[in-house]
Amino acid sequence: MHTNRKRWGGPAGLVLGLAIWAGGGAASAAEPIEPLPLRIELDAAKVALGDKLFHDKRLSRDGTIACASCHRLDSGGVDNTPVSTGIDGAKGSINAPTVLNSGFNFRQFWDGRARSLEEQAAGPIHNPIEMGSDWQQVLAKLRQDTALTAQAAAAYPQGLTEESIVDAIATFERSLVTPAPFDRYLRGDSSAIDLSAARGYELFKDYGCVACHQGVNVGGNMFQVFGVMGDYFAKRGGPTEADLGRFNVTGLEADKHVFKVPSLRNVALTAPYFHDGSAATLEDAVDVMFRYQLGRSAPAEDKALIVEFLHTLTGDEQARSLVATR
Amino acid sequence: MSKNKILGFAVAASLITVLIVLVALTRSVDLDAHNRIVGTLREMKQLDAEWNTEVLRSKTGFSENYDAVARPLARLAELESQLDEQSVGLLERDGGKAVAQALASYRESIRQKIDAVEHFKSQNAILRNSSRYLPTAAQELADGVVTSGVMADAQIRPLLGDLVNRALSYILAPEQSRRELIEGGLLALRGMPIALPADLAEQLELFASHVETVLRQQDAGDRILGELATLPTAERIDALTDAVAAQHNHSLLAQQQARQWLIAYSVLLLLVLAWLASRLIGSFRLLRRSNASLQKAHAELKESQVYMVQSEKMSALGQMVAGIAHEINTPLAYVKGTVDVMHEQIDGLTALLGSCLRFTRLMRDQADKAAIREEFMQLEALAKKTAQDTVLEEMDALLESSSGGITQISEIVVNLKNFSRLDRAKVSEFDVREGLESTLLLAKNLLKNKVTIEKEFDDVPQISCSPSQINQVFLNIISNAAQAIPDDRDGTLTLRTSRAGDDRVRIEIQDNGGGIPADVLPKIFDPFFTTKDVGKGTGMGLSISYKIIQQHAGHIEVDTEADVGTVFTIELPIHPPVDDSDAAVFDDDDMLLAA
Ligand code: HEC
Ligand code: HEC
Repeated sequence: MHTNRKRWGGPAGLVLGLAIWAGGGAASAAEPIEPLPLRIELDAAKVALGDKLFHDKRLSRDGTIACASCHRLDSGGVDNTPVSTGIDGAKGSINAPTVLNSGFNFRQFWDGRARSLEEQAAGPIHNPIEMGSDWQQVLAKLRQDTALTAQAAAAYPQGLTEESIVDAIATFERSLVTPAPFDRYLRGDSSAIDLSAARGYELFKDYGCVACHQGVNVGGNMFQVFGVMGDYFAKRGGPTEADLGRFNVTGLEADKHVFKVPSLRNVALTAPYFHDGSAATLEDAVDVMFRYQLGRSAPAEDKALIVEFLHTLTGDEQARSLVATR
Repeated sequence: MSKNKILGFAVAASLITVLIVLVALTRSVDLDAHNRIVGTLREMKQLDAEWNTEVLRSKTGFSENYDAVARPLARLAELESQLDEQSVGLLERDGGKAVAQALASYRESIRQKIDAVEHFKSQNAILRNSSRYLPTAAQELADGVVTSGVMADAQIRPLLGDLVNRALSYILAPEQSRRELIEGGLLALRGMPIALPADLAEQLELFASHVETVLRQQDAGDRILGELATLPTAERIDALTDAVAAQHNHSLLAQQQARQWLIAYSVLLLLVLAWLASRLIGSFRLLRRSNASLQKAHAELKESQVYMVQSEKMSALGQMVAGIAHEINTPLAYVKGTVDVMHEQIDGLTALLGSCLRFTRLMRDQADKAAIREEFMQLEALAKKTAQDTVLEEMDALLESSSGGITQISEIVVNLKNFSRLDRAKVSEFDVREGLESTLLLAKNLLKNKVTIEKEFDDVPQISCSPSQINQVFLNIISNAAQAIPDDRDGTLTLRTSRAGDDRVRIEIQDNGGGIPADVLPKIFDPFFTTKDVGKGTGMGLSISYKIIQQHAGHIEVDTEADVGTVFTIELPIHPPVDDSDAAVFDDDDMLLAA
């Protein structure tokens, strides 16, 4: 179910000024990648509450895991392991994507099974190997915290409830926006990235990476089969259920091995890569993309340039610390 | 009374309930809510149209990314849940089924559309990549062939050129014949009788698979776009809008009807209210009128009560007079008899006295002896006779007995005086026992023969009261009691006095008559109520008694049982509270007595 945010329409809609670079240059109209917005309006009280909850280990059954345990905000919003470790050391079956800029994804999860961040947030809490809890437990624990309860009551008329927790976390996630040098470049600041990265961007477009990784999030707006031009999974071996991708949601044959095209923002920080965490480096990942998504070969220097370009998608230190502060 | 009240309350409550229901019905159509739904639907339709445009823009390559195609999803979901919320009320009402159906078929079509758009994005991206790459791939392959030194350039180049051209034109016009030509070309390419080095063979295969990808994706794209074109989302939104509108009209109609009912009902209520008001006014008028007449009646009654008290007094007096006359008559007749007898005796004594006088004169005159002697003889005879006849003794006895008679009469007179005490101060110390005694005396002839009087008098203190009034009460009750005792029975009248508490005296007058019938009992103290024949009683006796006792701050009770008898119990305070009203009563009475 999609949760209608308007229901809570907080009066104190505070403008989180994420306008760090009010780039003066004329935006080039025809670029497939768009810069992040300069302003995002969110309720500061809800963001603050969501921040707390995102780092709150009481959301897990045994109190050992918070959202931030797997989505470390100081390391690209991921845990940098092939598959995440949940409560009791249980290994997950899929690589943790970043939560940074996740508000710009058209769907959540690799298979897109959550239509919104609100819908998504409840997922890990219930997932037996992620946090393994349930709302009753979580609410019982959190409601003993008077400071938190008061904070929730200040942000939401209904106080601390399932919906307000979900909404606060989702609102917080929407605040995790990481403008990068490349955004400034797109806004006309040609010195924001160096020439080789700019050249890498041209190659990224020319080779057709941009057919899938485009839009404001450099991905995150469509599904694609992994292995357009060749059978990636046959080559890799050891098929898992998670490899079936969107098929697990729709049951359609056409959706086998179909995944949400991930956002490439902060991709330099989010190794290892792919849903299976099989690519240890960005170079490996780009190789795989050339081979299986483009069905092309490319000289190593082109790939290196592309990788250089991908680094310019890493959010500025300043911006990341801004959104990552507690 | 309270039953009526409850009934009235219930009627009022149900009238008001009906009113509230009707008002609620006229309010039932929430125009704002309807407008909100219509607004949502309009936005949905617009979004749907915009989405179509975005898909086409992507297809034709006008837009550089798919954000515009992906973005409506969130808004769509928002609108959908908004619609869900807004239509909750609708689904419950009349026509809700049609709305629900329209909603469901809209959902079905939009779900299909979302899927189709997803597949379109995936398909379109790949198609564009492969088709864009095709010329380059062909060039690279041709170059590779040249540099590898395989002498196949002449054969391969036109094949590649044809394939690229046909594949690209297939994208513009996906005709079956062209497809067949392309498939033929691919066959030829793969079936070339030239042995290529492994990397070239792989490159060739890659080129071929890009061509196949173009074909596959183009076909898929066509299918998807065809599906998108025929998906009736807009029509479904229209149908939904129609269903909502139909329901809205239906509700409006119902509301209008309800409004008419409300008006009718209101008019009815107003009429009822007006009627009630007029009745109320009428009642007021009636009340005022009857109040006035009551006041008049009360005044008259008071007047007549004064009169009745007086006449009751007179009637009591009349009875008393009869009794008293009787009482007096007996000694009077006796006295008269003796006086008559004595009168007869007077002649003899007169003769004796005359003879005496004559004799004494003869003696003084020294008359002749013969005359003296004769006179002496006569005197002697007369005296002898008088002595013989014991006239004097007789007279003495007669006088004595008439004196007794007179004493008896004077006793009666004293009692009479005692009874009324007209001559005394109005409020005085009074021994109720004395009152009872003198009342008994006065009522003697009523009670005579048939009634045995039993007195059980405790020692009681004197009370402050108006003795004449209290006596009147006693007389009334005693004479009623006497009358209650049937002739064929040995009546017993028991009079008791006792103390009731510290400050009261109790008088009980009990008869063993037939008792007071139940239907009569409640009325005995009513003014003018009488069981006696017309003219025999005023019907005021007990009512006046009641009033008198009341005015003395006492009370009177009746306890009666059929064929056993009746007890009147009177309790009187020893010291009645002296307040103005009592004084007034006494004054009033004073006036009565004076009248
Ligand atoms: C045990 C590790 C773990 C924890 C704890 C965890 N996540 Fe995740 N998260 C994952 C994994 C793994 C995925 C990918 C799952 C999938 O796609 O099926 C994921 C996916 C997501 C996504 C989707 C991102 C995208 O681009 O699709 C979001 C958003 C997210 N998590 C937020 C949260 C929040 C909020 C919490 C806390 C309530 C949380 N996560 C807790 C491991 C974790
Ligand atoms: C046909 C669509 C498509 C094209 C073209 C494409 N990608 Fe991808 N890319 C994907 C998909 C789908 C995934 C996720 C695969 C998976 O993990 O299951 C992905 C994943 C990636 C990742 C890993 C991201 C992560 O966080 O795990 C990188 C890096 C990447 N692509 C770079 C590129 C580059 C560079 C190009 C051009 C050379 C490119 N892609 C072309 C669809 C595409």
